[in-house]
Amino acid sequence: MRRRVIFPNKVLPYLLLAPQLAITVVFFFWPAAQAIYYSVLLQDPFGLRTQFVWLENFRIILTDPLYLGSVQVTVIFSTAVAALPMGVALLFAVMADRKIRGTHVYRTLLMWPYAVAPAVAASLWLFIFHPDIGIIGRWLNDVGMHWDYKLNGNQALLLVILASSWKQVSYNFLFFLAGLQAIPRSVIEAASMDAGLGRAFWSIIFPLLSPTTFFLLVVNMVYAFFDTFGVIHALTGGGPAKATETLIYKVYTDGVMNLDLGGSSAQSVILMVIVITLTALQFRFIERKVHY
Amino acid sequence: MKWLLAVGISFLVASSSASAEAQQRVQVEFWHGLGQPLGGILEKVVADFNASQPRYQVNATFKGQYPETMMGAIAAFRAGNAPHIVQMFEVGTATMMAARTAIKPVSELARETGVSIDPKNYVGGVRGYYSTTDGRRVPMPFNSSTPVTWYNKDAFKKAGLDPEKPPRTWEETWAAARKIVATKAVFHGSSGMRARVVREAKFNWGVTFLPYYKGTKNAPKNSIIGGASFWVMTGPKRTAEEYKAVAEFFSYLSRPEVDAKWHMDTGYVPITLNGIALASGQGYYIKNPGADIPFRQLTLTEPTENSMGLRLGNMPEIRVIIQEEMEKAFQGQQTAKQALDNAVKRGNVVLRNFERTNRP
Repeated sequence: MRRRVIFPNKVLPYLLLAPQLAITVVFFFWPAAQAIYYSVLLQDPFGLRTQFVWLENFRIILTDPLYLGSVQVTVIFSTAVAALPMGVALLFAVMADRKIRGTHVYRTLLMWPYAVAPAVAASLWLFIFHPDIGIIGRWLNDVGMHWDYKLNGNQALLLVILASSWKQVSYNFLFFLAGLQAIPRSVIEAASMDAGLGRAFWSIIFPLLSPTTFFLLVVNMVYAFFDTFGVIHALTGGGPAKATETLIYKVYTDGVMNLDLGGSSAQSVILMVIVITLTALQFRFIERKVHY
Repeated sequence: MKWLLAVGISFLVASSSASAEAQQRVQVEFWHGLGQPLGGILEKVVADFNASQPRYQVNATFKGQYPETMMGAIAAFRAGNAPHIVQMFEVGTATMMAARTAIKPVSELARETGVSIDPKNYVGGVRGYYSTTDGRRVPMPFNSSTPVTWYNKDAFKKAGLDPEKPPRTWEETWAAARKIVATKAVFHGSSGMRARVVREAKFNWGVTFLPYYKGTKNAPKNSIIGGASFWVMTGPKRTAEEYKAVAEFFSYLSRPEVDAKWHMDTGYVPITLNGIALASGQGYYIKNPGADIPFRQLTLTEPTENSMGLRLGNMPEIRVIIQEEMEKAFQGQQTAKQALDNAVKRGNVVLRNFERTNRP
């Protein structure tokens, strides 16, 4: 007869959950509700005159060519920042999984960038790539390439993509490494003997990694949409000429700098809907292909 | 256990009487947006005021650059927690003036508290910019600046230009810049940069008027005000004592020795007539040639319609728009004329929005 484990206390689970739930409500649900509320209002910055304007803010935003430009920047940026760290991290994980000397050193060093705060990471990249005071920045100008991300929009976008991806490589690396180590050695050896390491990787190892890959895809996408604000703010401030103004950055500019609370909240709501949709799509279609 | 209780109670009593001691002074919260070294100099002015009298204490806090300070003050106001005084840059003037009950105009403050802050003491251009069209003073002017030309005399000499004859027109500036291969020998910046230039420049420097276009009728005219001013914010728990403290602080700031010292330490323009008289009486302008250029430029001529100053609603946003259009022009994506046209078009939309949100 199997022993059934029933937890007798009715209240304790809720008490234990309460702190986390409180944080989630205060820092996620409440601001989201406030944003939805503000998005249907037109108000002056001080909140002294408030008018109810239904979906007027949404209409203005969705017909604004600058907003659509921001969507374009975000698509390019997010695709790159989701794909690049995953690819690089997978490569590193495969390489660090082997039994070679110094493997622990590599693993430790590869994990450190994750601990760096986004603004600090951005400052580091600034000091390396600044056209006047950066080591690589000056070198690029010396060898004849006109490197100035303060004036050239494409270079600015490239720089923020690199800076944002750099941080995320560590996080992905950790998970890929764990995922690789969960695959039995015998499976890998058998596959390599049969078909060579390259084919073994794509046919056997990668599908076995698919739960990790799927998870990281979702996390990276959310990171690219939201958590990259700090890097962009410290490196380019959305410029030059809005070349690096992603959707999340535009929410900040319109809300804090331009004091347009209604428009900024409406953009927030739209962004929330976009990310929820993308996540739902991922769960619906891609998860089917994941072998657990 | 009883011993512990006794210690605890005496500690509580001691700490509460200590805080009562500190609270004998009326507290005034003052948020400013000046980084170093100007912020340090400002906080010294505040410390001097606190030391000069026993009744009021102004607590100055640096809240980030001007845009962050502005946002912080607005958010605080919405939460019912606004500071008594906030320093707002000139670009935010129209937004603040439209804030109605959120701010207390200085003219009202002076009247209510009976503390005199004489408007006639103030330089005409400064007073006019910070007053409404019917003459009511709204914020307290303090650190007004104007853009001037800073140039590197050493670089001029090396390029064969006369360091004592800086370019006066844009045409001359263009010609001089071509001669000076190393850029960054000339820049146009706020007169408030003086403190940093004096402290950090490792080269011989000079300051002169902003260039004008040769052939412009009656050029050069007066330049316009930059810098910032102090705004009094209302709050649900304000007492009359606190407003009196603010008024006394403002009255202190308008003393000639305070105005003159601030001007001499920072390069901001002296804004009171008595302050100017004091500084020149001390021979400051003889010992520091060029230090009077910002002030002379501001008062060069009577202001015309175009040179009274810029006070647009949502001006921070408009400034960003102008900057973005210029950046696009610098990248070669559009001509200068297109940049200006786009800036006008986008700026007009912003102004209409301001009108909409502030309809009485």
